[in-house]
Amino acid sequence: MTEKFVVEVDAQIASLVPRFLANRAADVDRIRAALAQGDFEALRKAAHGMKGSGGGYGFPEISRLGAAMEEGARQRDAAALAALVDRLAAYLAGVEIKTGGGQGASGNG
Amino acid sequence: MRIALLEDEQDQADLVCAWLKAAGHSCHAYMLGRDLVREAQRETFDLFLLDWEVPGMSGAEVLVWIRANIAEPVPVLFVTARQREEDIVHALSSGADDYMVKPLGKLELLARIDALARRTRPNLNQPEESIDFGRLRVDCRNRQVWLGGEEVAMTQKDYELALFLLRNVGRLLSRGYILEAVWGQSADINTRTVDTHISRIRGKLQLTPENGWRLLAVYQHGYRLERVEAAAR
Repeated sequence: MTEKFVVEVDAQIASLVPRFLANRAADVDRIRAALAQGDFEALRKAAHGMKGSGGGYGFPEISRLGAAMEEGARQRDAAALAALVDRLAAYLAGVEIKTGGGQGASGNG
Repeated sequence: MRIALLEDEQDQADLVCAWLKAAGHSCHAYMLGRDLVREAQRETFDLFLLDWEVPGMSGAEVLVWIRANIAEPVPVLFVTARQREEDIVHALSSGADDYMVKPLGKLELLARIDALARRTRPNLNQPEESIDFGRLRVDCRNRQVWLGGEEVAMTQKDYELALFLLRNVGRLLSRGYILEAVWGQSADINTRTVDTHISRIRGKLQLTPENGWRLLAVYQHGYRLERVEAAAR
C-alpha cells in the first residue's frame, strides 16, 4: 500500500506545484537512466536542482533527498543512489497537496 | 522594485518570481548570465538576485561585470546552494551585498530584499506630504505640482511620472523601467508613450538648465534627470 504524505503548500504558488511535481517525476526517470549509464555528473546536476527548489515549494523532503543524492553522486555510490531514487519515487507517488493560506511556508526544511 | 533574477532552474525561477510578484515587485528572470548582462546594458534594475551555478557565464562572473559596468550601487543578493564559508566570503568580497543559501524561505528572502532596498535608497518608500525641489514643489497628499508658486495642470500619469523622475534624480532609467513603475507591469503600452509624456513634463515643469535641471535622453536606454549646478548655468 502506498504511504501518503500530506503537504500544505502556499496558496500563492499552488498553481506552480503540479508542474514542479511532474518535473520531479521526470527527474526520477532521468536519475535512473543516469545511474544505469554511470553518469554521476548528470545525476549530481539533477539532484542539485532538486535540493535547491524542493523546500521553497513546500517539500523539504525533496530537498533532503536531493542533497543526499548530490552527495551520493559525488561519492559515486550507486547502491545508495538507487535506494534514494526509489524513496523519491515512493514519496512522489504518495504525496497529497493541501493548499494553505499564502503567508506561512518558509520552505526551509 | 524591479528585480533581475539569474536562475537556470525553471522551477526555482518560477517560484522566486511568484513570491516577488505577490510582494509587489517585478521579476525579470534570465537563465544565462550573458542574457542578463546584455539586458542590464540597456535596462534599469533596482536589485540583482544571482544564482552562482548557471551554464556559461557564472553568477560570480555576472557580479564582477555588474560592479565594473553599472555606475550606481545596485544591490546584489547571491542565492545559491553553495554553503561553504569560503564561497560566502568570495561572493561578499566580490561585491555582493548579501547571501542566501538554498532552499530559500519566502519570508526571509523578501525581508532581505527589503533590508537591501532600505540600505540603498532609504527615502524611497517614506510617506511624504510634500517635497521641495528648488522652485518645484510636489504636494503628495493632493497630487499637485507647483512651479514657482503656480500650480501646474497635469494629468494623473504626468503627475506620477514627474514624481517618479524627481525621486530618481541622477539615475539612468530605462524606458521599460519607467513604463513598469508608472503604468504598471501589465500595461499594454508602447515605450513611445514614455517619450511623449517625458516631452510634455519637460515643458510643463520647465526642466531646463536655465531652471537648474537637465532631462537627458540617453541613446538606446532611457532618461536621466539631473540637477545642474548654479555655477554651470
